[in-house]
Amino acid sequence: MSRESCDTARVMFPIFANRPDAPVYLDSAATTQKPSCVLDSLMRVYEHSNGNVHRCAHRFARECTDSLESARKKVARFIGTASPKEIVFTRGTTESINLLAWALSVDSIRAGEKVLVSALEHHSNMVPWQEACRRTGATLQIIPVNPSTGEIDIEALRSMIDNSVRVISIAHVSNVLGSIAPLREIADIAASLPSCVTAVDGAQAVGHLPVNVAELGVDYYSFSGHKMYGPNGIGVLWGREDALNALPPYQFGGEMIDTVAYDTSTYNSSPFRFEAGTPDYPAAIALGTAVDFLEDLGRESVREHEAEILAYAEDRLRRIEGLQIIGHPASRSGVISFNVDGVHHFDLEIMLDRFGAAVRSGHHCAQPLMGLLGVEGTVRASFGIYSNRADVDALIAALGKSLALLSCARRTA
Amino acid sequence: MDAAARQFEILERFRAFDHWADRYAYVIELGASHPRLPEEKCTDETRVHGCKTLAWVDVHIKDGTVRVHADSGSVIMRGVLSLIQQIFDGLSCDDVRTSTVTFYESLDIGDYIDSERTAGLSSVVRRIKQCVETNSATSV
Repeated sequence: MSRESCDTARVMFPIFANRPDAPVYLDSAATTQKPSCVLDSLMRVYEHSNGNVHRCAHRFARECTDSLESARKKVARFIGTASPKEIVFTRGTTESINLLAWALSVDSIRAGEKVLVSALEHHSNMVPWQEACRRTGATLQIIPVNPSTGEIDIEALRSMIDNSVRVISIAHVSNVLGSIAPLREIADIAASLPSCVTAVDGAQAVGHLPVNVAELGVDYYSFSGHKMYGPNGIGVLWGREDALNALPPYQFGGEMIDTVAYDTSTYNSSPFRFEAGTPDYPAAIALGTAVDFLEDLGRESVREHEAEILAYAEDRLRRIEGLQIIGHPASRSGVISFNVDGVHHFDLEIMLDRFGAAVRSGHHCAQPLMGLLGVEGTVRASFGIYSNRADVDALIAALGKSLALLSCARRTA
Repeated sequence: MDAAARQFEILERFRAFDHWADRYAYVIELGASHPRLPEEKCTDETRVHGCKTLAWVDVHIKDGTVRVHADSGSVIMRGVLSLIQQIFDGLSCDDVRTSTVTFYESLDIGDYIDSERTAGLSSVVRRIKQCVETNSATSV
């Protein structure tokens, strides 16, 4: 498909027609809206073929199993790997990273060794590693970020590298600053070490940019379905098959077992090794449909469409007196954070909603980053494939009205 | 005037506004003109936990009278906190202990702030009552 399809993709999302009264939606980084095809896919499972998957010969189970495993293949292809065995379905990015951090802390991270995360990480890619270090006696070190650009300081990272580094875990795209990490460069740095793996939080990337894990050279990649036009409650952990099979299971029972006796059990291999219990197969199947949706639009076309909307938004925001855009990366994806002099971010969020623009404010699950930036929080506008110039114009209009109403507070600030 | 009468007066003030923007302007004006808590009093001890936007409430008891000073960085939150302060400040300890704060529901406070921050306001009220109940507020 083409840019024209991206420009008109909005009509594929029923929520916009259903809610003409609602503010323009500028919170896609928190969750994306869902196209009809994804919603239909979800309902089709329940309405036509619902049966618990795997280890069963009846037709319902076979149809759902086939659809689930077809979705797994689609997701594998989506991120540039040939092997569906490398796709573990989880509940989302947070669970994926927790699974990985816990599993690596069992055998792969030892006392005195180091885990590196960047200063701009979401809590979900910070706290699991804090816990892994606490359990193992390893040290968590923070890779500096340029607070002005929002970009990872690669030279500082190089100075932190030695043979004791076991894990480097990085967000592909910052959920606050929109900066894109130089993953290939980071993976090459990790590859120069004897036993270092690169883990990636791809939550803000996969719905916006083409992602190819083979080209990136990373070892693990996590993302969430609901941030790429798929349903909530489903996500993915990708890792090379041999690496996943070397990890201990995270939860026990259900599909992850091979044999069970009263006194001992053996476990399945990847991906089922990490999919204990009944999987959310309807959501996984609908995630496969979301993959089809994005691939039909064209990943590069999606990126180009959003880049244009982001550039337009940035240009219009920059013209507002007293508005400070937070972070000026060379390449931006998905989000723009800003504050206005003398105005609390929460006040702006409230008033923008009342005047027709749904944005998010606060620390965005990145409290350490807020400390680095010297702010309590920011206002964040985030965009998706359905976002257009009219949305940006509505945001600017809402900002004008909000700031006028808040002007008495600004005078006394 | 007791807490119930104070709440009634607040509700009457809001009912005078026909348009939502006027109600917001009033809350914002309240917040903008509300005296700020001195920075040295914005401590972990006075901070209201359970409030997503930073808020502090300082409670003193002097000669059996409760003095309350609440604050927040958000001017809208500060405006709403000023209403809570208007209800409690100057009451006796007994009045604070026995008063029921219900004006949120009548005012649809959720329209002004989200449900999480409405829960934060409940934390402020609980904090004031707790300070009086345990008499842990600074006595001057």
